[in-house]
Amino acid sequence: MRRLARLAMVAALGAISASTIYPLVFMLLSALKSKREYLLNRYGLPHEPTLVHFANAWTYGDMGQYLANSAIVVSAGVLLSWVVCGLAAYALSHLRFPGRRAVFLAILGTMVIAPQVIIIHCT
Amino acid sequence: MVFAFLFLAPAAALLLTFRVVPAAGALWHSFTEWDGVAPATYVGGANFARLVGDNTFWRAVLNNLVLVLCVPMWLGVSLVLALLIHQQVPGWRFFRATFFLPSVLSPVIIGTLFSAILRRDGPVNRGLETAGLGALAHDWLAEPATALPTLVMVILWGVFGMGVIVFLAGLSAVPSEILEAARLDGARGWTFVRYIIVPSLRHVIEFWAVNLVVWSFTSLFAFVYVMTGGGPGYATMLVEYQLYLEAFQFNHMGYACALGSALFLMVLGVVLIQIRLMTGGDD
Repeated sequence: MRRLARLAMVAALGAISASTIYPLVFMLLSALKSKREYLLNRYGLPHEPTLVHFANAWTYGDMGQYLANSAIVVSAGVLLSWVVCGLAAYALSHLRFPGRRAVFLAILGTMVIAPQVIIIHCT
Repeated sequence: MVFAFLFLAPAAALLLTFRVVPAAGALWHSFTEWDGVAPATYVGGANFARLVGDNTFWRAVLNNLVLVLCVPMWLGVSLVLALLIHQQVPGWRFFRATFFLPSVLSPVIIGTLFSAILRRDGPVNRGLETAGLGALAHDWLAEPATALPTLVMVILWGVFGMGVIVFLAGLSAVPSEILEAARLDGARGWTFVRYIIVPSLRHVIEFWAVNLVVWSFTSLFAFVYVMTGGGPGYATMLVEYQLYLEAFQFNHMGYACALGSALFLMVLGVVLIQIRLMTGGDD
């Protein structure tokens, strides 16, 4: 009985893993199909795999530029977060100063502003 | 003390420039009529009066509240899975790696994938039909009755892996002596979870719960935009999505700012209630 329950549990976890893997496999398989094959054979393995979409994404889709943009935004963002958040977190957790709790709550408060509101006034 | 303010200065400067000032601007413009281009005209509380009578807004609020009620589920699933991985069930390394996969996908990709997978002729419905459950097949994201529950499940799929990682990090900080001592004292199953794990993880659980609540109000735009556009009808309309529509589709910037102010108060209210409930009013 205990063995059976354990087996059922691992099977359930396996099912969750399958659900996280399948969409990625679907994405990859679809990327390898021609437009025609995607319409005719949406869910099977590609019969005539093609890399043309990757080439198109690179040349016409300007993927290189987008990757570079992402790299710039992410690396600058991560670096800045490390420095800015690290400093602020150290001050809030290790230093004693008046208004500490108020500052902390104010920072938390800025988290609940919807990004769309910010965008309206940054455009 | 000087150091403290020095260390806080960069964060304060950034937050003031990119959060507080725009938010204050939005608050001011929620009392104006404004198309985003021409100068705004002051209209007093007209936008808020319109808000109170706006059925779309109330539908969006209702949908947002449904999502808030789903937070315990989103959190609970992550917690249970993290516990199982922490117990090192067979294959735990594999589960830990695969559960994290959705977290490296952007909501836009998740939405596009699930739009394809949940289509009327998609693999989910085909699977149901193959299993002889064809009666359960739906056009999941296009039927009013299934759209919101489906959105909830897709969001669960997108976020549970991050929750697992957060809880695993929390569990790894619990001294193993405590866990071993509890085991020796005979704590098993539910008792072990209720009296050892939950108290040890209390602050992590609180953090993640607040995070999910805030996130459910302010960061689901991409999911809705890609998968349902707030439809069918208003079945998946959320306040932040209505805000986007009013601001950037209809150029009703003043009304959008009023929606933003209402949303801000709503999130703040829910989070304060939540903190009060979780800490039992003790700190």
